This record gives sequence, structure tokens and C-alpha cells, in this order.
Amino acid sequence: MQISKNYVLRTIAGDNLLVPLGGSSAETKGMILLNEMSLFVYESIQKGQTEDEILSRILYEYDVEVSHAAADLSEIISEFTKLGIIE
Amino acid sequence: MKYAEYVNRLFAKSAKMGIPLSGTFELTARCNLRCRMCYIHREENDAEIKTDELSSEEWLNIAKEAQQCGMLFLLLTGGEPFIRPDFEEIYRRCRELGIIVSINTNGTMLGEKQVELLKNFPPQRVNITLYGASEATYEKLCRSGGAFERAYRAVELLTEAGVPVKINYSATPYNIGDLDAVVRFANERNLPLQAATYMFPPVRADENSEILPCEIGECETCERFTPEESAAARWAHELRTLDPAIIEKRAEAVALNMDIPPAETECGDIPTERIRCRAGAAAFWITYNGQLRPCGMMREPSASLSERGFSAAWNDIRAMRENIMVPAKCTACRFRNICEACPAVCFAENGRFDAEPTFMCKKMDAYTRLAAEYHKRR
Repeated sequence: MQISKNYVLRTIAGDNLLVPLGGSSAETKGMILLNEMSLFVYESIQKGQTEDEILSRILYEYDVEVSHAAADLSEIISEFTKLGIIE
Repeated sequence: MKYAEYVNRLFAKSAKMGIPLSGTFELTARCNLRCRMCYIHREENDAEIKTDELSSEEWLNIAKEAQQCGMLFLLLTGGEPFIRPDFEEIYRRCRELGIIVSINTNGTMLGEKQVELLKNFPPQRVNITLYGASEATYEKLCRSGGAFERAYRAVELLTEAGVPVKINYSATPYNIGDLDAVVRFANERNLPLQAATYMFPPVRADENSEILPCEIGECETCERFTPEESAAARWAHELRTLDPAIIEKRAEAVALNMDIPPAETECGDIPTERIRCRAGAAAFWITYNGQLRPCGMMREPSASLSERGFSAAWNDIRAMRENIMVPAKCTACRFRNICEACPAVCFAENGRFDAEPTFMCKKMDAYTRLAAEYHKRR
């Protein structure tokens, strides 16, 4: 799992945006807005962490149940894969 | 949240925080066409102007600084930007910075190489200005009949390649007769079309010239509509293209002497009696020779990038913008929601930001007469 070169992360006015380099789909329009959890996952992948390591960090940083955290993480990774944010 | 709603919110935040969210790079003042009404035109081979143009390295350094300050959206324009042989390099490297780029062009210099670039590395949109629907009209207005085929071919090639395209139309006495055909052309291809019935006087053609109120009929070099013609063109176009409910509402408001409801405009609304649009608040323009301004139709305020660097120049412009006041009459005018006047128009028409733009006032008078007649007939 690694961050692809298809996007550039921009932080503007407190918002974290992924801007596609190769053009946008009808789905992404011009950019993807990352919420706090998505950004957390993105930056964790950028640091080379595995899914298990990321889950451990989420549980450490946030007061969430394991099942919820795992489900959210899985969904984010699935979406990242679908959009070509990770490969 | 819808994309447009999010972008508007981002602009509002950026304006409050002083972030230069949206920039325009005027890569050149030169153009391969010679449109009669152009606000800036220089000849393609004007060697003197060419030496004043920023190099690609200079543009890319500016792009990096602006990106670090928060620039997300960028419009590449001119003149005709594809005149520059280094356009591809500037474009690619701006995109690599995570900047969302649009391009303004007349389309006549787009061949297969340029289309391939844009297909593989798509911009947010290519805005192609069409000047007519025939070789004859292009010859009359742009002094280049051959440009007609090249421009239309560019539209076809880009749309076939899946590149988003918008059609712009600059309406003048020379080409108003072709507008219907261009609207049909755009509709057949499902392309958005924006027609401008107001042309700025050539405010950037000679930046040392004195600005005199344009007295239509007395000005020998005036190639644009009279205010009455401009109003007629706008009304006719809106009748054909706007939702009939909006037309009815507008005509009724005019006839009953009420405030006219607002319409969508390019410039975002910031509730203040100072300059209302995003220019100098969250948007900026850089001229071909490195002057940073709120808007490309303004000669001032202006800050030199070579002397100040981007961040300081942007702060200079933001501060100077605070002193730009709209004419007092405009803030209370019942046409303020649909009038095309703005401080740049006031300056270009009457030499001061706070001067009532007589051209626009006359245009709105004529426009509302047409709306009132329409209402009366209903």
C-alpha cells in the first residue's frame, strides 16, 4: 500500500484537498476534500504504515470501538484504492 | 456538499483569511488575431513587447510562491497563450504543483500536439472564444478569415478528446448577427456558452494613455456597441437562453419599479460597500510583464513582482483594494444586482473607481426599457 503519484495534497484555509494530476473524473470534479480521519489515514500510508499499524494508531489516538475503527479504515482504504489515491 | 457550493465556501474563507486562492497569469499580450475591440492586443511578432514578457522560469517561480500562499485555481490567458512555445512547460509544471488550471484561448493555434497534451494532462476547462460563425465574420472582426475553421476544429478536437470546453462569445457590431448560430453550435454539443455583450474599452492597449469617458459616436477608434446596442444584444440573448421564469420576474420587477432580483455573475459577492468581487481579496491577476493587480481590466493598483516578491505584492494589493470604493449611486441602484458595472468598469469608462460608469448607466436604462416593453406586451 503506497500513495500514488496521481494526486498532490494541498492544505488551503484549513481544508485538506487532493488535486488530481491526470485529470478528474465526474466523481471527483476537480479535487477530493479529506476529512480528519481520511487525512490521518493518508498521512499514515505516506509514512509507510500497514493497515494493522494504522488501525492501532487510530485506536490509540481516538476514543473509538475497534469494530467501528476497523470498518471506517477499511472503507477509507477501499475508496482510496478506487480513486487511485493509493496503489 | 456540491462542488460549486464548496468552492464558493472556500472563496469566502480565503477572502476573510487573505489567501490568494485564484490567480490569472497573462502569459502574453500578443495574439495571432487582430480583433477590433480587444482591450489589450499586441501583434504576434511585436519584438519590444516580447522582451518584456516573463520567462517560463519566472512564471514557474511565481507559481511556486503563489502556491505556497494558497493559490489553488489558475487561469492561463493572454493575448493568446498558445503563442508561447513554452506554454506546454508552464502548463505542465503548474499542474504538477497541484494547481487546478483553466485556459483561455481563441483556439486557432491548437493542433494535434496541443490537444494530445490536454487530453493526457487535462485542465479544469478550456474556454474557447469564438468570434463568429463564418469565415466572413472572422475576417471582418479578427482580420483573419482562416481562423474560423481552425477555431471550430479546436472545439471538435478537444471535445472528442474528452477535454472540458466552454464557449465564450464577445459580441460586437461586427459579429452580433452570428450569435444565434454559435448558440446552436454550443447546444448541439452540450457545451456551456457565455456571451459578453459589454466590451471594455482598450484600457490595457496603452497603459500611459489618459482615460477619457468614451463618447460613443465621437470616438474614432471605438469598435464596440453603443450602450443601447449592448443592451439590445444582452436582452435578445437572455430571451433566447435564460429560463423564461427569470425573464418574467425581471420584466415585472422593472415595470413595477422594484429591486431587480440577482443573477449569477462571475465575480463572487462579498457584502461590503467596498469593491464587491473577489479581485484583490481572494483573486489576483499577473500581467505579462510581472505586475500584480486585483483584476486584469485594472491598471491600478499594481505591485511589481520583481521588486516585492509574490507574498509582499499580494499583501500590498490586498491593502490597496481596501481603498477602492464603488460609486455611491451604484450601492443604492435598483439595478445593482444585474448591472455589469464594477470598479474596473468605472475606472475603464470614466477614469475613477468611484465614478458612475456612464456607459453602463445608459446600457441599463436601455435594457430596462426593453424589459418594460416586454412586460407590457405580456
